[in-house]
Amino acid sequence: MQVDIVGLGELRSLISSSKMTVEIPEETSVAGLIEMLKRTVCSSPSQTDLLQSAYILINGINVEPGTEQTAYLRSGDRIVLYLPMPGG
Amino acid sequence: MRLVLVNLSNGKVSCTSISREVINSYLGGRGLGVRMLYDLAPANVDPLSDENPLIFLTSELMGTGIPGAVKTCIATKSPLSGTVLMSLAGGDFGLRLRAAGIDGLVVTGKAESPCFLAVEKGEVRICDAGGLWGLTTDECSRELLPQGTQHTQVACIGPAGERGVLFASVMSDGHAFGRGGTGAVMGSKNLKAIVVHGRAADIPHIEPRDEFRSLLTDIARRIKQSPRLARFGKYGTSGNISLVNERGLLPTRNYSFTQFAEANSVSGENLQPLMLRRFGCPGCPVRCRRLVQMKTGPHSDLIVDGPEYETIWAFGPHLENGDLDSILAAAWFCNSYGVDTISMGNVLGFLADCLERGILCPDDIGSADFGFGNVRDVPDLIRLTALKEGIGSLLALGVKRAAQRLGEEAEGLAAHVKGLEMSGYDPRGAKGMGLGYATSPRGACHERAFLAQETFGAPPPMDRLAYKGKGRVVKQRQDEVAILDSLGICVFAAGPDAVTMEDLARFYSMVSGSSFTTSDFQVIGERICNLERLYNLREGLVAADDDLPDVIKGNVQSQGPSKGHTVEIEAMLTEYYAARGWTQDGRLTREQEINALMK
Repeated sequence: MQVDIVGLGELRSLISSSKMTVEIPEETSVAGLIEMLKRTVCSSPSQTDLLQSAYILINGINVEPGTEQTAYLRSGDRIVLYLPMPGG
Repeated sequence: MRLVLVNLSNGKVSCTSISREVINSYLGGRGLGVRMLYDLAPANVDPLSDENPLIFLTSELMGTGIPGAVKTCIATKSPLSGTVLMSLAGGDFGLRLRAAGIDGLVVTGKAESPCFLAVEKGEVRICDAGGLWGLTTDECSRELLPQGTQHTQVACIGPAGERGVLFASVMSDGHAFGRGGTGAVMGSKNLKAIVVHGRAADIPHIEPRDEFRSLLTDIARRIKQSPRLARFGKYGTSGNISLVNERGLLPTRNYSFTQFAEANSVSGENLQPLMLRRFGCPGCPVRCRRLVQMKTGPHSDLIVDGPEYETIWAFGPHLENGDLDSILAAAWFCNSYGVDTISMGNVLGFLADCLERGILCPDDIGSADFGFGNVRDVPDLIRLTALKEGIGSLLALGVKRAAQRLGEEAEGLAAHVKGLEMSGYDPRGAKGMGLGYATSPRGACHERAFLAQETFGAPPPMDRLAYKGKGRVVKQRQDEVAILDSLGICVFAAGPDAVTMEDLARFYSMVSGSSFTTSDFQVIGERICNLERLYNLREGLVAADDDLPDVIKGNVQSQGPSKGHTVEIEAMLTEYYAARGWTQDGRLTREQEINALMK
């Protein structure tokens, strides 16, 4: 199945802001997807760290650490990876 | 604290000092500002009359080297909302004021002819500004700060302030005392500018020196190690556009939608290739300001202060505009003419909606060609607004008054609270933001209760779409921000990875000579918010003014992450009033009134 991945801010350089469609096996969790991305898009430890600390939105909704991280993704999900900054 | 009082009607300049007891009750800046406004402004004063004071206030932490201690506060009554108006700006204006031996400046009356104030060595002179009247803020600053001038800063108004545009700003070195019309109040006094000269080295040190330095070193280490602030320094708030869009919080097309298809084109990451240099406020290692140079378009020669999130939103998604160059140009014109970018973008969104629905016709905007997605003539519309010419005379009133003139259908398109135009975080996807807009004392302001947990999903987790519990957290955040604003601390330099409330309590204990804790700050923060409420109640505002506009409440989102949502404010308000200990009609108890005024 396919999901769309978007990187914002610094993560734009790892993952296109205009979305990257990737093929993933069924029953892939968010955590599994991050692990897969670490292997496929990261070329240095600092990039891996960046990805590891990313916040995650699935279809606009935040993934709570330790909860939905283990939930399976569905075909067509839009996954946004970002690092928050102060607002205003 | 030493204050200088300037009466422009009779030319009298005098000095006074504030007692330690009063300073300790309100801290400085915003807190002291509301107390002075309450005491000095007659009840129900016309904001553009001689009697409305224009008060510039610093804090005792400013200019001492504490990161982010740079925010000068202007306190006055807003001509736009009729509320208390506390407007803060960074830069070194307040630092120079303190270096000149003055902690605050209270301007009343009206000069017979245009004037400016020259501040140096503890004294204030009233000088003729005949040759400055009519100049833009850039031109005025250049006149008053010839090349090579050192240790000097200017705060001035542009043509918008001179003409009484209700959302005119006071500008200082690219920083805006925005929202609510500080510039119009300054212009109503025939006061074009204030020039301040002072050496930072003359600001008193905080003692005991060793303890102060040790704490500063800790803070500097935290900031240096903070990945959040490292990123923030790179993009400022402008990098939040894409994220806010992804979360369905980005108001688009005058609040019709909460997502914009071209958001990525205007997000702050795109400013990087245009950046000339990055810099910061004095003593702040975050360095979040950026100077950018436009490379294309009709204004490609312009060098612009890198716009922040709100300005990009106001002239971008709000107008359904995905062209970053045009947004940069709009920011430059707003700053030069001296108008608030959020309000200006809002009135243009309102105008585009009125044109589209036939409330106004193309002839009403003269030769300008304008509408959603069509921003070519935005600079001209900003100029017309600043000069109050043509359609600009209507837009200069702000959306609330402009809509009242156009009728009921237009009123349904006006996005404001208490007359102040709304900001760029859509409350349909962030309910606490909605409550913050509704209860902010100066009107629809995003800064007084910004909840990063809700807006960005920062820890600890907070359900952005939930209503329950928002009353309590909004109240707490408002009280915290009141402390930061009163001590002159930039909200971006505050936090667990930068300057903490515990740090501030220690710093303030040092300068005051008394022991202050974060619990004491909670009491003071609440007192300041209560006094702002008391002021607004005195000026005739009522609980019904704590509301959101129909353009939000009556417009359920049909798509995106905020699909199916609007904002039901009533339940949150009940909880908020209870958290504040106010009556259910939003009034203070007698005991709170006494405490707010320290009677």
